[in-house]
Amino acid sequence: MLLTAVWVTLKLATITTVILMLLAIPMAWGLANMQSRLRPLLEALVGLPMVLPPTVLGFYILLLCSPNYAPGQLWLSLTGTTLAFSFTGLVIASVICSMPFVVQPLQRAFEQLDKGLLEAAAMMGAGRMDRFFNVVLPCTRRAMILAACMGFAHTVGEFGVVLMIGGNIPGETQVLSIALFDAVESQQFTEAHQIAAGLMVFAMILLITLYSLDRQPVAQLPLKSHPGRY
Amino acid sequence: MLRIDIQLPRDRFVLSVDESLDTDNTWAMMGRSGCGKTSLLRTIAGLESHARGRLQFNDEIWQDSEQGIWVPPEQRGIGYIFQEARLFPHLDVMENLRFALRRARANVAMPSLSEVVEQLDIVHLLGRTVDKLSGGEKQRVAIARTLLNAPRLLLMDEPLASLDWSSKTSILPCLRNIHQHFGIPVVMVSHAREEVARLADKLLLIDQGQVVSRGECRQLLSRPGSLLTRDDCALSILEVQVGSHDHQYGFTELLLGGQKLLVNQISALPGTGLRVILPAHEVSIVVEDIHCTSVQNRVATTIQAIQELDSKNVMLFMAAEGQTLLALVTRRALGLLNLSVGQRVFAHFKGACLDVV
Repeated sequence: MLLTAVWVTLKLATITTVILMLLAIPMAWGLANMQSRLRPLLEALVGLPMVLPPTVLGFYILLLCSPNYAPGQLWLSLTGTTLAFSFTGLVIASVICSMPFVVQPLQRAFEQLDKGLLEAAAMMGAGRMDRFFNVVLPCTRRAMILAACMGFAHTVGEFGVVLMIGGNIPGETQVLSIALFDAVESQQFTEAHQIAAGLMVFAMILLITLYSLDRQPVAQLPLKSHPGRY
Repeated sequence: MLRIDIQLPRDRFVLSVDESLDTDNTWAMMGRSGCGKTSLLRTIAGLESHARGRLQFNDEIWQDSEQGIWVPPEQRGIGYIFQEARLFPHLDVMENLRFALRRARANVAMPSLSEVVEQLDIVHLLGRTVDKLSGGEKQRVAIARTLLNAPRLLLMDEPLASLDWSSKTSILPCLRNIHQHFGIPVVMVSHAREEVARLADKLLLIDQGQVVSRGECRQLLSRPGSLLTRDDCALSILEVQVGSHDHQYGFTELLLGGQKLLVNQISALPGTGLRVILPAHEVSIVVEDIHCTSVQNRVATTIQAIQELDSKNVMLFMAAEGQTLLALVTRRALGLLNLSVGQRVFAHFKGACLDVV
């Protein structure tokens, strides 16, 4: 049962992180370069999950997932299953909840990026996409790693929303944080200890990695290095 | 031919320029900081999205606001050397060069990597990371990167402004070479007379967003009444030919018409046309033709104009062999020597203070 919960948690966090990065990179780029007065509104929407109690968010997402509302209805007619209390529903909820933790570091990094470098690249004939993939992304790779780790960690640590949307179905929606709650409720303290300590160690390792990454000069990041030749 | 007809609103004025620049000469746009010269250069490059008007390079239209034509900067085939090097920090020196090489334009005059790297003396830097380079090294790599991109037009925005003197003296010859060696037309922006005098042939003087004078660099820099001769940094440019080399004493004889100048030995072949830059404050005036002085350069001139500078100094404009020399002298000396327009005098200056480019 514990291993199943570990597997569900890792699967959820991985899938969520991949989806998050795909969505958050263009979103953060758009926000960072937006001149419109709508920007604070959009930033507030993205940041909402950071301040709202997860149960509030979970409540609304649950409503939207239910077949009584258009999104849930659409899902039901397309797949024949309900979104609520399913793994897919859990992924959607996790993506929404962890979005600000991924968008914000990326947006800061994009805002701080020296626009002069992009002008220089443009003058050398690099078009929009070329500049984005060959200047923007590599120059902000530290923020990328940070954002992905934050998204992953936050998804693993989420409890309220998961409980509201996913419930507690072992093998389907029961993640570690729920399993811990379950174990305590049913007074299985050995298992509760294992989960709690495990999550604690995981969180420490992740944070130590993140902070040591933060101190390392960019040039020494072990992503790419080879001697110059010609 | 670069045809510019551009308007760009700025904070205090509208930059409004209507000029044609031929591509056989190196052009400089000069003016005080904030006069709009950098904006003009950025507009040519396509980096100012608010600029309106028309831009044409040879038979290609880069911008025509009336017809809604706007070619993005990456498609204009321009090389831009910025004030700061703007090297990519995530790439090492060689990778920065490769970035430019991979995107090089199809150009007849495509400079080779080894040639550029040698000209700019950066062979030993190729494997280094960018943050380990000095300011001068960074700028040399930036220039190499721009050249390897094989641009059809090169724009330079005060490329030496952020550098110390020794870096300047090592980079200036490289920049001077670009037009001659690689055959790329150059338009540069500067507020420094020495930089312009060394690099440019023709000059646009810009003030408050308008072109106020246009002409030969040599003439504009030494014309009485011009903004450029109203302070003690004025200088004159002399066109000379290499005469002969004296290997024993280590000097070179330059010919200014029928007269001779001596400078520290240079490597140019006899007959080569060169440019000598002579700061006005290095020139002293001697009324009689005396020989018993350690100053080796003595040019016979005629005073053409005397212009008041401030309470202490005046500027003398003197003609020699059809060219103009400037001399900064004190009012006291002017009175003591009783100098007047039309008088024949001798301009004395040391060979070491001459800049030969």
